[in-house]
Amino acid sequence: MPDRTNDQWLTDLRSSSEERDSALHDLRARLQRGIFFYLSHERSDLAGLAPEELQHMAEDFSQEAILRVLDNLDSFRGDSQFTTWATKVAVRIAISELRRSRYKDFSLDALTAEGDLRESNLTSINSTPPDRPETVTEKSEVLNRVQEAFREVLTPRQRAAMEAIILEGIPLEIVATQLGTNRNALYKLIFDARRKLRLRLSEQGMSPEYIMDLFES
Amino acid sequence: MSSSKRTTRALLLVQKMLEAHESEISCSECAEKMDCLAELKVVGKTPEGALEAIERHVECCHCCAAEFEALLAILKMESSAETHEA
Repeated sequence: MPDRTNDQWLTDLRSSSEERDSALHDLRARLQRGIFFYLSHERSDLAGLAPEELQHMAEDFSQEAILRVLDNLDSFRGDSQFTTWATKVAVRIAISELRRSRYKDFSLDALTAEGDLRESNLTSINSTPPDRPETVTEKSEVLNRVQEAFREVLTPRQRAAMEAIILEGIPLEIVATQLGTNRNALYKLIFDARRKLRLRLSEQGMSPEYIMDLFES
Repeated sequence: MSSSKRTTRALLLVQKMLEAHESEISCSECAEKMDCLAELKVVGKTPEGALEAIERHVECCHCCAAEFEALLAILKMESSAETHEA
């Protein structure tokens, strides 16, 4: 595969000659190789799939990426290598598709409805020896304050987003779709929610550091 | 819900608040410059200025982190393949 400068890539892909076919061929090969590597080496959740299936997925994702790259050539500013930029596009497409597929049955409504912190299959992060009575009381008080803050300071939308994203690890774009918003807006929503929680707890003399120290001591 | 589960959930929330650096930039801004950060990381350089902000966003946004790590892994593979070919 010939090395091209960024300008050569742009010129070739914009041309209507053999250079374009050659550039498309090379770009497709490069993206497929990268995405196949990612699917086969970096995704334990796909370990059960046959190499042929992964190759097929890599071809599909790369083809979609090629179309998007061609549609967005004008937005490439040359801050990185053209192939890095194109790979970024392909990675985003691949990961978005995989997320959509994995969470196709996910429903936000199945998460919290009462505004409380719901149960989950999380392992305890607090397995220290039995506490003295005053420590038990202090811990109980702090937990109540955290629960209160979660319930009282956050909007229902913020609570749902925090539940899904922070506590359940559901990808932003999946939750964004269900909330009828976009990834940027949802990130800001979470950012603001975290800030409100921090503020409320700190007004009550409880920094996150203090709380974690209390439960880890 | 059992009290131990509720405790775990509340603590996890606090822990996540503690772990997360706050990043003012959006996922779109991060996506725009993620390729530059990845190239810098492949050659072992430390990001500065705008790319430092991108790195902070990647550290606190698990979606962007997944995309960044994937891109970085592919670039490293390509870099290694080119080294072997040379």
